[in-house]
Amino acid sequence: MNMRTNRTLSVSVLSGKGGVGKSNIALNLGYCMFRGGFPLLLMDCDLGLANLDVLMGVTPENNMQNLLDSDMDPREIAVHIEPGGFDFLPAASGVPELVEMDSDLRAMLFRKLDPLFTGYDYLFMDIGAGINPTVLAFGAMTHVRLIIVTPEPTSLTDSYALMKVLATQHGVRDFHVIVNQVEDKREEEITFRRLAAACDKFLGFTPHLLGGIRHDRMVTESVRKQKPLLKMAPGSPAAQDMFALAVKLQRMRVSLRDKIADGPFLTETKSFF
Amino acid sequence: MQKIKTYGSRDIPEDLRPLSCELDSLRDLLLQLARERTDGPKDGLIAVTRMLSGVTVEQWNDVAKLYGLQEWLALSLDESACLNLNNLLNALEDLAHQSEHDPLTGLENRRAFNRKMQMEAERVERSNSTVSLVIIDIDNFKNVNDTYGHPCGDEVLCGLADVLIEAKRVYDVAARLGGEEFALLLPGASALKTKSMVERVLQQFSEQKFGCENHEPFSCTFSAGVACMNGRGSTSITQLMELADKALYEAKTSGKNCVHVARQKPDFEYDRSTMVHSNEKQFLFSGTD
Repeated sequence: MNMRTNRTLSVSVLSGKGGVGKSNIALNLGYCMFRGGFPLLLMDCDLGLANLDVLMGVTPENNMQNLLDSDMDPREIAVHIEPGGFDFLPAASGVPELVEMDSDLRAMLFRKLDPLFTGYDYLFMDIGAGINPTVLAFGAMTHVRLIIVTPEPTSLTDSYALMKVLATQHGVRDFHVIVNQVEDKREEEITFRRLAAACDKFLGFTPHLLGGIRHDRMVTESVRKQKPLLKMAPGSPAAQDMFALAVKLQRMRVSLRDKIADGPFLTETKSFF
Repeated sequence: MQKIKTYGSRDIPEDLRPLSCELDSLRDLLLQLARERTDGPKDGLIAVTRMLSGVTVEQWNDVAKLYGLQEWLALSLDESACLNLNNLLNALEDLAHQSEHDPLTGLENRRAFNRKMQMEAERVERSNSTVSLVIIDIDNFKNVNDTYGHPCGDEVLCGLADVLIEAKRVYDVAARLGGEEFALLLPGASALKTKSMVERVLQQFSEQKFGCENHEPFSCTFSAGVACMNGRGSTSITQLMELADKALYEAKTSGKNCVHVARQKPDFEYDRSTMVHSNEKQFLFSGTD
């Protein structure tokens, strides 16, 4: 995409199954990064059924759809959620055509967005549920993939299926798992171990565990109030867990700094690691 | 073998009569030559040239049209090369059109239809899209010819051609395959969409009244078979034809005047390597498979 030295780590947040807290985790990890002094762009990639704006209590006038059907500058579309480095790129809701975006349209979108991306330390892409081609393409593009699972069997199978398709069709074999809504450390470990063992046995790779997030009624509360949990109740168990995950992710970014600098920012080709 | 037409000498203008006789004998000679060679190799292509003074190209074209001598190509030797080339081009274009169109209805003929179907099948495979084939047969057409005569039968054939041309989209192909058999090729159309389109055509066609001399006006119906292929499947053109033919046969046996869609197993092939199997799920839940 470019030859300049890149410092932006692209992170996709995926789950397979809907309703496991994906958007909420993307939002709160993003907020942590911003508070830590790392400018971040949060991109709603749940094209066709976007929802991140609702979680943040904003009602943006424009969205990425405008990039495709007009000459609008991406800077006019990005919304400043917090002054000084927490920006949000909204997507259209209720546009089924966007779900089936082909590679040409995707390339055009990212070509237009490219000038916007450079100013950030992180690009977080909140990807939709399911395994449609757009989900897979976005998931395969980023430096890092966060897979959100819950201890529920249906979530386990859906995220396994997502990893299997990404591995088989796109050659992507590195995933960082976040186990959401766990009772305790033990449940987090059991859930991750099941998923990791199945990947190891049938797919020939082992995903990494980034960590768990405890079940916390304050999460529901923050969604209702349309505020990031980390802002509303930074001391709550889930908030503390997410803060710990953000710290790990930042460490990962530091350790990858050289690789990030050399490579393209987002890629349509094989995995980064 | 082409049938030889002969013309009464009184139809020929006086000054062209000797030429006409000469051409007739030359034609006989060439056809006899061709007949003798039917067992031998089929290669060889020649142009026979005969200088002819006192006749213009326009005169010749009129005469050739009148007496079915279009295969005799006239080139003027006293006019510009450009005009000659134009004549040659027009003649070639006419021949190309004739070779791919049905002279009665103006629709494409079986040869053109087969060629386009081949192209469409390749496009479908490349672009992972869909194409539908319809075979249409006018019901009880023999009775029409027997009762009202062949000219009236021709009117019915042209009537159906008109409805087909009216109903088809720019990129659809309508053809007369021969006799009372017609076909449609509808790129991008699913079997169900095609069925409702052909039913509309059937409705319009059956509402047409054909009036022939000394007879009450009458109307006709047709039966049609629809088959569909897409880029995900493995149906060949031959199979597609067979499926449409079979559907047409079913339409005929179920009482005619209707459209049948071929019973095809769904053309859907997918990448099995990405599928999550039951043992994988089992392992996810219990740790054993």
